[in-house]
Amino acid sequence: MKSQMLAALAAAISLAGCGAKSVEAAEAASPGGWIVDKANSRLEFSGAQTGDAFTGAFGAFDAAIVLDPADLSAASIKVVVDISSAKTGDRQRDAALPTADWFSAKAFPKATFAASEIVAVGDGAYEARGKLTIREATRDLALPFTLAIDGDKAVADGAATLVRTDFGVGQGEFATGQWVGLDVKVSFHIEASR
Amino acid sequence: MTAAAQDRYTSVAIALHWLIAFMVVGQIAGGLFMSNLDDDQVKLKFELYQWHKSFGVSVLLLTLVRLGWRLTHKAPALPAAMPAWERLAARGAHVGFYVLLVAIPLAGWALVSSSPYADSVQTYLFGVIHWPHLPFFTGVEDREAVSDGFAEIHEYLAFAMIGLIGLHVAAALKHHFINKDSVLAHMLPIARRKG
Repeated sequence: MKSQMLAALAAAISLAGCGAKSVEAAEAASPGGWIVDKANSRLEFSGAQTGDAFTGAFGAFDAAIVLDPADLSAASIKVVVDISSAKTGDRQRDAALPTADWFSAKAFPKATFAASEIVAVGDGAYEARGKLTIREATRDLALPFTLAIDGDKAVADGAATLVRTDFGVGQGEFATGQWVGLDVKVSFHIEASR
Repeated sequence: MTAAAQDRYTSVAIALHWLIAFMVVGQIAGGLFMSNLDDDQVKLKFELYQWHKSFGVSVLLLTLVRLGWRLTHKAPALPAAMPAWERLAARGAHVGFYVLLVAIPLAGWALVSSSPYADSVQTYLFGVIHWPHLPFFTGVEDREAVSDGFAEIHEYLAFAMIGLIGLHVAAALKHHFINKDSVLAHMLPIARRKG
C-alpha cells in the first residue's frame, strides 16, 4: 500500500516536472537539438573545507543543447541549475550552502550558463564560450569539453575550475580561503539523445 | 525510607554526577586547548569546536535531568557533626554548580548563535542531530561584538567552574581523609561504607 502511494507520488512529481520543463524540451527538439538523459547525467563540484577535499552534486538541472559538429555556427548551450539542489553528503555543509553567505538560494534560485559560441579545439574536443551566472555575478567562461556522438546518442564530459568569490559565494568570514578553499572545480557528464 | 537507602545518593544521581563530571573536565580541557589553537590549524580547530558544542549541549541536558532528579529525590543527610557554616558552604557550592552547569552551556549557545559564522555553521550534535541556534540574534548589527561578549562570559564562568571544582574536590577529600566521615562515599559509584 505504502509503496503504491510512493509510486503514485513519484509519478505525479515527474509529471509536474515535465510540465515545467516543456519550453526547454521544445528547444531541445529543434534541429540539431539534444534531449538530455537526466538519469545518467551529472553536474558535480569539488572543493576543500579545512583542507579536506569534498565533492557534491546538483541534483536538479536542465540543459538545452543544440550542437551539430558539422554546423557549429547554429550551436547553443543553455544550462539552468536549481541552486538549492546542491548536496555534498555532509549535513552541516549542506545546511550552509543555501544561506545568504553562500548561494543565497532564496534570492538567487538559479545559476545559468549560456553559450552560443562553440568552437572545435581538437579531435572530439570543444570549447563553449559563454556567460556563467551564479548569485548576482555574471562572468565569461570558456568551458572545455569532449563530445562523442554515436548515432543518436551523445556523451559529453567537461570541467572548469571557478574561483567561488568571483561570484560572491562565501561572504564575510568566508570571503577568504581560510576555512573553505576558493577554487571549486565544476565538472559534468552529460548523456543525451536526439 | 530506610537508613541504608539514605547512606548514599541514588544510583541515578551518582551516574549523572560522574558522567557530567567527566564531561565538564573534558570540556574545560578541550575548551582551553581549542581556543588557544593557531588559526592555521583550521581542521583540528573546527572539529574540536563541533565536539565541544556536542558535549556542551549534553552537559546542559543532563544537568536539567539531574536537577529534576535532585528536586524529587532526597540527598543523604550530612554528618551530624558538621558545623552550620560548613553545611551552608556545601549547600552554596552545590547550588553554584547547578547555576554554572546551566549558565556556561547557555552562554556558549548564545555565543555560537550570535556569531558571524552562525548561518554557515549550524550545530549538529555529534554530527547527526540538528541543534538550532537561539533565535534572538537574527537582526543584530555587530554580531562579532555580541558574540565576543558571550564568549567572555562563557570563559569567566568556566574559570569560576574550575575554582569551584577545586574547592569541591578539596572538601570531599577533607571529609574522607581528615574528618573520616561518609560524605565522599555518598557519591562513590561503589559503596564503601565507613563504620
